[in-house]
Order: sequence, then C-alpha cells, then structure tokens
Amino acid sequence: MFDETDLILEARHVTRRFPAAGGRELVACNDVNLKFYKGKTLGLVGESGCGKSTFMRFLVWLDTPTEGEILYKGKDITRMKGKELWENRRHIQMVFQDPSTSFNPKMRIRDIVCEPLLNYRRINPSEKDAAARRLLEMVELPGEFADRFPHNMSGGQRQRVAIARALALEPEIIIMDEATSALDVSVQKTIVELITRLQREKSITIGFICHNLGFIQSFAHQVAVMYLGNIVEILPGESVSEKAMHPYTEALIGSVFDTKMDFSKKVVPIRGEPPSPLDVPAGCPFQDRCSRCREICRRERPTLRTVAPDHEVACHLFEKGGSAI
Amino acid sequence: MALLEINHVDISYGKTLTVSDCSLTLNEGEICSIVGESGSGKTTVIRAVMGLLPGGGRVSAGDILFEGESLLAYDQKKWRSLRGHEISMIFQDSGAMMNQTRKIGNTFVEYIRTHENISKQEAWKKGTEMLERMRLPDGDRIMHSYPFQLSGGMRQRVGIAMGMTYQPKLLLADEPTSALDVTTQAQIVRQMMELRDEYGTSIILVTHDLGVAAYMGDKIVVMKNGKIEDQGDRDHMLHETENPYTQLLLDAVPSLGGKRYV
Amino acid sequence: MKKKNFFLRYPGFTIFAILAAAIVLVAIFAPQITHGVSPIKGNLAEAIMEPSAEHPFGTDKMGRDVFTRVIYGARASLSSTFLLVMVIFVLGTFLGIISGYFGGAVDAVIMRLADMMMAFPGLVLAIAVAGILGASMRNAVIAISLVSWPKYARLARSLVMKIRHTDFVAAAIVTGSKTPYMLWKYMLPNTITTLVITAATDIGGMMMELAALSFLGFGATPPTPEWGFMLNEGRSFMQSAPWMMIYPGLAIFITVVVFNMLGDNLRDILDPRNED
Repeated sequence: MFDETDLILEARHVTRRFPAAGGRELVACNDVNLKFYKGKTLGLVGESGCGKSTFMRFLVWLDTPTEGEILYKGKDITRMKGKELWENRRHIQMVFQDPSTSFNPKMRIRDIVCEPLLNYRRINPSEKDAAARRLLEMVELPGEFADRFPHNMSGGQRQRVAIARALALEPEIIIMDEATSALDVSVQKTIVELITRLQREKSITIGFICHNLGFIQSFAHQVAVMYLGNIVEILPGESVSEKAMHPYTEALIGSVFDTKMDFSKKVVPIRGEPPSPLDVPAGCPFQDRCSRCREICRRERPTLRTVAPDHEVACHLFEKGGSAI
Repeated sequence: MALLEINHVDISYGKTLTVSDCSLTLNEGEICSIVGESGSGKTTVIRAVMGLLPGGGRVSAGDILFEGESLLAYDQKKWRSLRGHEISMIFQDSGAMMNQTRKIGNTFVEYIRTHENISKQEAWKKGTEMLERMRLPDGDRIMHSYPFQLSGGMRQRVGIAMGMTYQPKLLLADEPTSALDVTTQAQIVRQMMELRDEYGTSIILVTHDLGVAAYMGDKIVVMKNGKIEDQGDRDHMLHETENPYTQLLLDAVPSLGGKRYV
Repeated sequence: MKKKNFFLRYPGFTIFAILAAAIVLVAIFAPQITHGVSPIKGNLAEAIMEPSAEHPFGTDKMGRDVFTRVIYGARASLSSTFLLVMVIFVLGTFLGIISGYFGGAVDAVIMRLADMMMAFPGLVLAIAVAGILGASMRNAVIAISLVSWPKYARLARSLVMKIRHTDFVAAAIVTGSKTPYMLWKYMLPNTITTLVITAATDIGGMMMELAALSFLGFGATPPTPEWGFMLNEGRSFMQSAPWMMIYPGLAIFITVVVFNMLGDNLRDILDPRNED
C-alpha cells in the first residue's frame, strides 16, 4: 500500500528524556520509528501519558528529541536552526486539540487565518479580506465569519478555522493533535469528512493523534499504537478490527464500545494501571498488564518486527515472523 | 410502582427555561442512559433529581417522584436522609470533588459520619471494607493516600465506592467515564454493571458516548436542546426508531469494521 | 454622545480625572495663579509671618510666600513623580516580558537582579545613591527607580508566563511568527492593562517616596520649592509656625489621594475581569 518513493517524513530512533526530581528520568518517547507517506494519514493512538503528543511536537519544532533524527525529505529537521528552521516551518503545520485555547482571544478570525500569510509575506495587509474568505471557503465556513471573534463561534466552527489556519501556507504535512476530541460526536463526523476531502484534493499528509482506536481506524491509512513511549504496533487502518496482534492493541479494541457490538459480551478490561513513565520497567513496557507475559518479556524489550506487509509488531509472542509462538 | 418517575418536568434558571417537558420512568434494577450533545440539558436533569441544581435553578413545572414520594417537597432534613442512603451521585471527576489536602480516608470517614453516628475508628474500618468490596486493590493504602497520589481511574472507583457505601437504590452517574482513558473506562463500565448485578442498584447514566450508553443501558433517552427527542428500550433505539436525530447520532458513532473514509 | 455616556457611566473616574487635571493645570499655570510672585525670592523682613490677606499661607523662614511655593511645588512634585513612574513602568515591563518569554538564563539573571534590588529598603538605598551621586531630584528618581522596577518586572513576567505555553502562542510560532512580533503583538498586549493600572495606582505612593527623600534632604535642594523639602524646612518651626508644614503637607495629602482614587477607578474600568 505504501510506496517508498512517497516517503515524506521519517522518524528514526527518536527518544525524549526529561530529568525529574530525585535524579530520576522521565522517558516520554523511547526509540520511536515512524514513517509518513505523501497524501496519507498516520493515526497515532495511545492513552494519556503515552508520549504521542510529545512526539508530534517534535515535528513542528515545539520540542527537540534527546536522541534520534527526524528526516523531512532526507534532511534532519531536529538540528535545524534560525532561517533554515523558519523556512521549513511552512511545510509542516499543526491543528491543536482545544478549539477554545488555540486562538488569541483578542484577534478576529480574519487576522488569525491571515497571520501565517503575513508572516511569510505571501500577501499584503490590503489583501487580507480576500485571502480570509478564500481560506474560510475551503473549510466550508461563510466569508462573514472573518469579522467574528473566536468566542462567538461553536467548537466545530472553531476547529474548522484552525484547519483553515493550518492550510494557509499550503503545507505538505499537517499534524492534528486530538483535533476532534473536544467536539460533539455529530460534529466530529463532519470534521473527519472535511479532513479527508481536503486530503484527497491537496494530497496532504496527516499525522493524527487520538486516544480512541475505534474513531481513528475509520480514516487513517496507517495506525501506530503507542504505550508508555514505545510504538508497539503499526498496521494498516483497515486491518485494525481483524488483524491486530499486540496484546495492548487487543485490549484497546476490547475497550471500544460501539452501537453495533455484541451487548451480551462481557467487558474484559486489562488489569492494573499503567506504570509511571518515571519507572519504566526493563523489558517490555506492557509486562505487568499483559495476560500472556513470559519470562523473556521481563528481560528484553521487544523491537518492531515486520509480520505482514505494512504490519509491524513489537512483541516477543510474534518473534518468528508472523505466527504466535 | 416505579422507582423513579420524572413527570413533565420543566427546569428554569431565573426566567430562562433550560429543560422542558422531561418525562422518564425508571424501575428497580434498570439502567437508563441519557445521551445528548453539549447543551442538551442532560446534566441539568440528573442534578434536579438529586436536588442539586446550582444557583437559581429550580423545577418550575412537573414533579419528580422517588418511590412514589415527591422529591420537590423535600426540605434539607429529608434530603440529608435521602442522599447517600437512597440516592447517590458520582461525577465526571470524583477526584475534584474531594478535598485535595486531606487523605482519602479522612474524607471517607467524614462522609460516613454524616450518615451514621459511629466513631472515627469504626468509620475508617467501614471505609476500608467498602473499598475492598469494590475490588480496589490494597484498600488500606488508598485510605492513607491523598487524591493526587491516585490515578484518575482509581479516583473514580473511590468515588463509586463512597457512593455505594449505603447501597443506595438509585445511583446517578454524571459522565463518569468522560475524563478517563479507554481502558480505564472499560474497568469503570464493568464495575457499574456489577453494581446492578450484585446489589440491584438502578442507575441513570448521563453520557455523550453512545457506545457506552448502548452497552450499559436497558433504556436509552436522547436529549437535544433541553427536550427529550426520543426514548425507548435499547433494541428499539438502535434498530427500530425512525427519529432523524437519533439516527444522526447513531450514524456518527464510528465502529470497528464499519464505514471507512479512506 | 458616546463620550458623554462614558463619563456618566463611571462617575468616580470622571470626578477624580477632573481633580487630577485641575492639579496638573495648577502646576502649569503657577505663574498666573500666584500673580507673578516669585517662589524663590524672599524678603527676610517678612520672615515667619502668619497667614494674612497678602500671604494666604503665611511666609517661611526666608520670607518667601508659602502659598506661592506650594503652588510652584506642584511642578517639581508632579514632573518628577511622572518621570519616575514612567521610568519604572518602561524598564520593569521590558525586563519582565523578556524574562518571562525567554526563560532560562535570561530569566535567572533578571530575577536575581530583581531579588537583589528588592532586598534593599528603598529609602536606605536612595540615601546611599544620594551620598554617592549627590542630592538632587534627578538622583532621587534614579535611586527610587532602582528599587521599584522589580515589582513591575515580576508582574509582567507572571502575566507573560501565564500565556507563554498556551496553544495559541504555540500556534503563532508554528505559523512562522518571529520573536519581536511575538513580544510586541502577543506578550505586551497581555500585560499592558494590568501594568497601566499598577502605574496609575502607584503615582500616589511614588510621590510620597520622593517627598520623603526630599524631607530627609536627599532629594530636592534649596531653593527649589518642593513639598517634601518644604516639610523639612518647616520641621524646626512645627510649634511656632505650623503653617510652614501644614500647607505643603495638605498639598501632598490631597494630591496623593486624588491620584490614588484615580488609579482605583481606572482599574475598575480597565480590569480585564470586567471585560466579560
């Protein structure tokens, strides 16, 4: 499904450590390897504290990894500085989670969506009206909204404005950090439809952070599952419901409640609580909660292995290429 | 006789009508899920049942009957005997409902002693037993912890344990899993289903998550803009109803193996 | 029409704004109000005279008309106070904003400097500065600025830090906004309202500090008419010629109260909480 010539962004061995009180270390990301392809959506799924937001922030230079590199069209972006960094910002943009805090409350919509264009001198101040209308149209909002303030709009409308702002510089990659989590369900659907349409039209690569596996698999080409800073599985979106292999992915699937499920099926939650990222155990990060944990899992950390085309799993159960041992 | 009857209730804040003509019946041992998007009024309804409408809110029409008696006529004294014993409530963030500077044990003891005249030691013991009965690991350690030392899921379970101490007939749950991770949500959902199975507790669950509402609810009520749009038992609501809003909500819920956009 | 409604809506502010303007006008039109009487030339033969028709506030030990000196004193007091508040405001705001925005070493250095300055009791430092540089209003302004800027810097810094890590600031940076733009368009507007209110309410206090310095002899020097210094001059005559202290003292009192109340009322108008 994924052509290597379409590879646009690649993260290699990205690790992020934070010093913590008492000489301890918080490992937010541990040896993360991910590939983003042109015009395709990568969904990064995990629960709170797993490091998915931390990772995505590297891509827009809001933070720098402690180790590893992130290659955009072959160049490592993590070491970019000054003018080169500024030049490259316009290729990778971001939509934030909370529509009520992603805008300067004192700025009108027109100024918000035109700010990127003015920053890069794409337009003159006199052209703001026309440019704002064009961008609002792209996200199916009426041009009159340009005059409004963010607090005079609904959550869904604000997220559309956030998407318009992210599109202003015609980036190749847009990172969406839980962009729909704060919205009502019916509104989420309309936003997904908007995003997928824009992707088709403009061939934009999307990195979508989400905590809800059921939601993301419906519009992601690739899904990467993250646990405690580690990528534990990467698989095509359409394979999630049937072919997921990692025990954590299975637990996530088992935690999805949807209206078409079998209601007589008893919920089997995974036991225990996730360990703290300050005390990640040696070996597999999922060891204490995995029902199929073995002795090797406590000693050696499993790395991602390809088990099927476009499908990688980091688990000792699947070491010998595809079949459970 | 139904356990709870909400009859044509209007709720107003000052002159503004927030909820209109809300009617709902709940029998013993039933779970009713109230779903709606933001602004639908679902939280307002559940707070009215508990007599906890914030400043200026009141039931301006209709009646709420619990075991045949009107709750609207209750004074503070009667409410005190009702809350905790007959009707309990759990919130979206039980942790925030607790005093962050006191240990869980002290909060729990205070809760128990407002409902029963027993000594602190006995209350402490009772609290610890309750936590264990709710299958919380290491109840003693939890009693000695501060709220911030526990995870969100754990705090919710403590909130449920406290609410269930006197085995109320009715448990009102206001978005109990919205602030939790999906795997923790699954734990809480299972726990709440067990409450019904083991103690016969009736539950009214308010949520925006249709999936959880459908899994837990025998009955589903759909609210929009302060009114009940649609209601019925689960099968009817999921498969038979022709209400366009319900269908819109159902269609918007993503399902594994269902419709894909790419 | 709109202006009229504004002043009617905020009667407190209007009243004190008028009073403050009146005080400023008195300072500006001092020569006219005093009919050309000189504040610095005195007739020793007329020294220490009780208030009379000719000298409404009496005369001081050098035979100068106290009324004239009080009126002219407004000039020295107001101009140096406004200058002082301006300096503290600009310096403190600037240092506070860059401290809050850049964090790290910049923040550490500025905050330690602020701590150092705050550790000094203001008057003690002012006396030291005056001792080194010599007594004058200019040096008094310098001395008090040195100990007073930290308050503004800390306030500006905390206001900046409140928004520094919000999503909308991150979004502006991600969409290519450069640092000077961020400081000017995002950080400064977020601090300005609170800091203007602080400055306005500080006018009264700063006036007191300058008067105190002059009273101690470290500010204004003779023969400048300045209220604090006039208090100093009248000290030895407190029992025998109380008018030499009463009138300058009243002038300080009235002016400080008027500007304090002006600042309070300004806060009621500008308070961001009222904007909702």
